[in-house]
Amino acid sequence: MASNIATQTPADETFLHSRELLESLFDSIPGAVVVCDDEGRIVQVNAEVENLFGYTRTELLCQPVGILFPERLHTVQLGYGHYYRQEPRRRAAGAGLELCGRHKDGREFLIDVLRSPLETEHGTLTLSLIRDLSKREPGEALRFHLAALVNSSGDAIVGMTMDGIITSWNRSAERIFGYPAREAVGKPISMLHPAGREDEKLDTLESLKRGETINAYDAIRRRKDGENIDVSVTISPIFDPLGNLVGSSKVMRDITERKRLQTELENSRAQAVSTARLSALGMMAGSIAHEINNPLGVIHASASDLMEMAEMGSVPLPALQRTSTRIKRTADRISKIVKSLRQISREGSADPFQQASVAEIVEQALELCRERFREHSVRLDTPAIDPELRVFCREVQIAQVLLNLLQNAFDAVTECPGEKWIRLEVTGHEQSAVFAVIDNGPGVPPNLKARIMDPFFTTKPVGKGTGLGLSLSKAIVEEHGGELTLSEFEGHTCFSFSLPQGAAKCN
Amino acid sequence: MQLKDATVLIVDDEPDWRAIIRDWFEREGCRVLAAENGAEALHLVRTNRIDVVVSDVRMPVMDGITFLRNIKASESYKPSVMFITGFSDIGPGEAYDLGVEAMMAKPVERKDLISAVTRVLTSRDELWQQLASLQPDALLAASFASLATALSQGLLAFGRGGFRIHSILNLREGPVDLLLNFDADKRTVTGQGIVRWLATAEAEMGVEITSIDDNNRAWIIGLSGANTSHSFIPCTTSSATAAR
Repeated sequence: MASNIATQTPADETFLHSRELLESLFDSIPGAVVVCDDEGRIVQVNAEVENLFGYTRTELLCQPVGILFPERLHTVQLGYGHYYRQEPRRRAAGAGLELCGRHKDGREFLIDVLRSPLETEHGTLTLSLIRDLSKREPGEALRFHLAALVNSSGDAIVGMTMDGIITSWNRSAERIFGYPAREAVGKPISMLHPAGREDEKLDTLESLKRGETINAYDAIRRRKDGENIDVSVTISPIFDPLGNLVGSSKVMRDITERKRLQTELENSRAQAVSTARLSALGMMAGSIAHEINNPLGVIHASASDLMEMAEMGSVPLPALQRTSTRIKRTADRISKIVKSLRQISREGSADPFQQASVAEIVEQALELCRERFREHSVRLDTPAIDPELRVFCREVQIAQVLLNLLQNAFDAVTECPGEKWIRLEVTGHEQSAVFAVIDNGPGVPPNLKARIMDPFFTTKPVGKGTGLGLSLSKAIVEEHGGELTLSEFEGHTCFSFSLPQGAAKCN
Repeated sequence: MQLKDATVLIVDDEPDWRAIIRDWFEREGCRVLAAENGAEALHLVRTNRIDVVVSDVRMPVMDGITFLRNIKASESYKPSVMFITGFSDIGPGEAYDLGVEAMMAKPVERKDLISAVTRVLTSRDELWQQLASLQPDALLAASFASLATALSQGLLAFGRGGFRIHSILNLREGPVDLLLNFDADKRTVTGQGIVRWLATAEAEMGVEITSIDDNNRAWIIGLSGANTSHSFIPCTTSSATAAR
C-alpha cells in the first residue's frame, strides 16, 4: 500500500509517517473498525462506524463495546471476547453465528465481525472489522439466511448434479435417511431407492430442463438401516447465473407417520361403516324379531291346542280346520317378513341394475316396518302406486334407502305427542319416478340442514343412530344418478329422490 | 279367588292371539273380556269388575305401560295385571315396580299362563304357604341389625309381592332359598323366592316371594301390604335402568 502511494505522490517521509495520513487511512478503510481495550471499552472508531451505527466518535469513545450490539445478545456476542483473549489469534467472530448490530436509533442489522489482537505497550487492544451484511453484502446475508433455513428445515433438502450425484445434504436429510452429510455427498441419489429399484429413473429430466418444478409425489425411499420409508418428493431445477441447468434440488418429506395415520383412519372408518351396518342390522333385527314373535306365538299356541286335543283322544274336524288355517295364514305372514328381510339385508351394492317394479320395492320396505308403525300409532299413508311403474335400479339398495328414510321419519314422529303420520308416495313422470317420504315430525332444525347427510353426523341419542344412514342413502341414490334432497312439503319434512325410468345409463 | 270365578281381560292387538287365549280361559270357566289396545281396555276396566288383566305391551293407540299407569293411578279398584311381552318391550325391574304381578314372553304355553293367572288370583297368605315348591340351588342370606335400619338405610324395601334387597351375593335370576335375619327384631325369616332382576352395578336385586315360614308369614304380609305404591317389587330409578 505504501509503495503505491510512493509511486503516485512525491516521496515525502514526513507525510508517509504523519498522523494525518494514518488517521485518513483509518477512516478510509471500507469497513467499520472499532478498537477496544482489554476491558471492552472503545478506544478508537473510524468514520464508517459513525455511518453504520449513527453515533459520533465522541459519543462512542470510552463506552463499553456492547453499546453497538443489542443487549439481549451481549452474552452470545461478547462472551467470546473473553474467549478470544485466551486464544489470541485472528478469527471471524461470526463463524456459524448470525451476529447483529444495533444502530443508535435502535434498528438492528446483520453484521459480520472480524477481530484481531493488537499488542501495544498499553496492553492488548482488540481491533474489530465490522461489515454491514444487510446493506453492503446482500448476497452474503442471503446465503447466510438460506443456509440457516435449509438446515433448520424439517424436510430433507438434497442438492444433486444432473447426473444424480449428491452435492449437498442438510441436517434433516441426515436424520431422515440416517446418512451423515460426509457419507452422502458424492454418492448417487439412487442409493436411497428401495432394494431392486436402484435403477428407478423418473421421467423428470425433460421437465427440469424446461425449468419446471416436479410437484410433490409420494415415493418409497430406503434409509441407511435398510428400512423403507414413505416420502413426498418435490424436485426443482437449479440454474447457474447464466441460465444453464446445473443440477436439481430434491425436497423430501417423511410422510411415514402421515401414511400410517391415514391408513389407520381409513381402517377405522371402514370399521365404523361396517359396525354401523351391523348395528343398523341389529336395530332392524330387534324390530323384526318383534314383528315375527307375535305371529310365532299364534302358531305355537295353535299347535299346542291341536296337540292337547290329540292327547285327549279326539280332534273335532271344525277345530282342526280352523286351527290349521290359522297356522298356515300366520306362517305365511312370517315368511313374507323373512323374505323382505332376506332381500333388504343383502349388501346389494354389486347387484346389476335392472328394471324393477316400484310397487314391489315399496312393499318390501313397508313389510319390515308396518307392524311397528301400527303399534306406535304411526299412521302410514301410501297412495296407490301405478303397478306398471318401473325404474332402472338396484332393487335391494332402493328398498334399503326407503327403509332408512322410513326409519328416520319414524324416529322423528315418535319424538312428539299427538297425531303421527308418515306418507310414502311415488309419482311417475315422463322419464323418472320421484320417491318421497314425508312426516309430520318436528322437522330438521335449519342450522343442521346442511350437515344431516354428512357421514357420522347424527342427531339421535348415543346408541340409537349410527350417523351413517342418510350419508349411505345419499351415496346409493347418487350411484343411481339421482339426488337425495331435503325439502318441505306443505310445512312437513320431506326427503325425496328421483330415479330414471327405463334403461337409462347409470354408473 | 278361584280361576273359574274370575273375570279376565285380554288386551292384545293380535286378533288370532286374542281368540286363542280367550278360548283357553273360557275352557277354565272364566268370564273373558277382550280389548285390542290400552284405551279400549281402560274403558272395560271402568265399566266392569275385572280381576286380572293379561296384557300385551306394544300396542297402537295406548301401550300396555300407559294403560297400567292409568289403572294404578286413577281407578277405585286395582285389578291384578300381568304382561305378556313380545320382545324386550320393558325390563322386569320397571315392570314389577309399576305393579305388574307376572311377566311372560311369547310364545307362552297354555298351562304356564293358566298357572300364572291362578297364582295372581291367590291371596298372599295362601300362596306363601306352599313350602318347598321350588328346588333352588342358591341361597340368598342377609343379616340386618333391625328391620327399621334395613328399611331406613334403603337396604331392603318391600312391595306387594316381593322385595328389593342390597346384596353383594353373586346370584343369578331364578329360584333361591331365603334366609333373612333381623337381630333386634329377633326374627329369622326363611322361605323361597325367585330372583326377578339383578342390578349388579348397584349390588341390588328384586326377589318375588313364593313362600315364607309359618312364624313370619303374617309379619311379612303386613310389611308387603304397607306398600301403598302398589309396586310388586320396588325398584330404585338407578336399578330400574340397570335391570332393563
